[in-house]
Amino acid sequence: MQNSKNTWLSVLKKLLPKKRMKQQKYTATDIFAKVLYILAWFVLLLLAVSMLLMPVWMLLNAFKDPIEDMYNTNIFALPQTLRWKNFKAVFTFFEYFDFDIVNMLIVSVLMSTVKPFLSIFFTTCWAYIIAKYNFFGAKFWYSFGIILMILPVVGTGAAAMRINVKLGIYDNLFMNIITGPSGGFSGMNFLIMYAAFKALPWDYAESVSIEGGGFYTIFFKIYLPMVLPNIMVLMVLAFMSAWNEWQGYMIWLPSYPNIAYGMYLFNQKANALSYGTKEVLAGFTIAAIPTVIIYLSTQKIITSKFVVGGLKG
Amino acid sequence: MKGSTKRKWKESLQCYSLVLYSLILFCIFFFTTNISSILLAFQKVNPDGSTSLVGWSNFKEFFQQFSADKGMMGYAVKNALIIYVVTFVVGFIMQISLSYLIFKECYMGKLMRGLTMIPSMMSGLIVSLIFFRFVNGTALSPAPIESLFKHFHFIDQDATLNLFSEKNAMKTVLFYLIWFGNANGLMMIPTAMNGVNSEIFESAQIDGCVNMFQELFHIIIPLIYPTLTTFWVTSFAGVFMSVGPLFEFWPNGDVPKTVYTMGYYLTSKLTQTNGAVDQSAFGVYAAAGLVLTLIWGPATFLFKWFVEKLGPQEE
Repeated sequence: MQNSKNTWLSVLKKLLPKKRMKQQKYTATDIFAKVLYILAWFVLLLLAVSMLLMPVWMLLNAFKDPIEDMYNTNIFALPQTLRWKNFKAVFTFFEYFDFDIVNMLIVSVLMSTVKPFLSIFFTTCWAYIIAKYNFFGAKFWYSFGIILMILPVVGTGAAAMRINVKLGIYDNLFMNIITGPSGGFSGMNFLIMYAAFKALPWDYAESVSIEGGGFYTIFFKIYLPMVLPNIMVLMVLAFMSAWNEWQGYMIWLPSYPNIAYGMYLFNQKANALSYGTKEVLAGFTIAAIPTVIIYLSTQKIITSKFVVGGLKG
Repeated sequence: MKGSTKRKWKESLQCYSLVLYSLILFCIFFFTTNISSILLAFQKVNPDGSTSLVGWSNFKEFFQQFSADKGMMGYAVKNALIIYVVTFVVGFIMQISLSYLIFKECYMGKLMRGLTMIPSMMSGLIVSLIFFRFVNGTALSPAPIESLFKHFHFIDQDATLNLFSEKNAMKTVLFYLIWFGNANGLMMIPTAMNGVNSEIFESAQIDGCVNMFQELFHIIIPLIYPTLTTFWVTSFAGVFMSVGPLFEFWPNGDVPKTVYTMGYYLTSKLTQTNGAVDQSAFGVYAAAGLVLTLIWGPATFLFKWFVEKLGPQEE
């Protein structure tokens, strides 16, 4: 009894904040704050466990035979045999449609690399000129960008749809990619790149100018390499966001599904085409693998570099 | 003086040449789309794709749809506001307190922070679809969450949760958005907290600022306030554009009125049904957008002004 009490006390001690100076007396607020701290720790624990629960269930069931559920009610039981047929079923499902999983993969790769690259490149260019030059309109574009970030322009989708149809952009993969980098002077990415350029001194540019270097040399050979780490972080985030994007395809590119939209369609039509939960979960596993790998290999850079500032117009 | 103006012109030309392509695209897609949307609010799209002027009738139809028997617009606006307020308040309290724990290097903090990132790793779509399959059951195949709850005797053996029924839909969506919406906050807020100079904490401790509330309200929140306001203002601005997990939870379009939102209305009207997008309701769509922009635009700037006023004043 005494032992278990000591164990609990040692766990509770571990839960308390580390960077804490010793005090003589505890006020009621201090005790209340400590209780809340411990309560919040349990909420964090519950949150973390619950986040793990569903992917584990997905992974276990992606390999299970549906018959296993009939005699084993433990939803987290290990699969008795690894049923690769579930994964094969994902590939055969798309044979019912005009597109297969290889085409979806190509669309995913193109839209997660080329489109974000163009978009981030032009955002970087905008951030550079606004942060470093006092050209005509610099202040206007900066303030306009901030206003656009804040101003909610609701319901322009219908007009955008009509314009996209008229210009041949609607349901056209190539046109969708090349018209992506519109208005790079607004948004979180712009603010991050703007802050990165603002932090760099102008002395480098002056030295290059003295040696005869021009506007483009200063940008491409001096400042662009210096902000490459920031660009890489934005590229990784943009890659993951574009890889996981699916609603945009549902609206603008219905004939060119990527892997994520393909999985949405798979989930939507699975029951009608006699596919069960196990096959659907196998599909989700396939879709999740690339982003999990990329996230895990770049997590440190993302969490350390991604800081957002304020919205001062 | 003349030389400096000439140099500024040259510099301006060079600057614009670097971003010319994106500037042209912006002019086409921003200005043309917005002007066209304003015009569309006063037009009707005919079956052949042409348009004809209809005056204020789109606006009239939009306001008529607020009455329960004529449309879902009232529910769409009300639900969007409910979802925003609840997720904002509960989400903020949760994210700030959990971020504080991570920042203070609590027991197993790094591991738990890593696990909370799972929704960011796996994609929101996959997480919401797994969640749906995890909590949604039928009479023949009960939901895994029901089996789990029955195993631990949280619910009766013959009970069913019916989490996606009209009655429970809003609670389920709110739970999902709050619980799974923490990933971004728990990535950025602790990073912002780490940016606070440790010397400030040390001197504050000497001054008697020692418990969680004092550290949060007197040091951390005032110092990371610009980051917080950025999230608050951008999420406030997106109230009527946020779709939530409605397409994932009701993939066949049978979204109950108790959870139908403006964002869902605006997105679903642009999707294909039977291989084509129905443009007949585009006029009302544009009218709804114009009315909401005229109301929510100033409201967002007012909100920004308010949260900035509420926060610490710069000296």
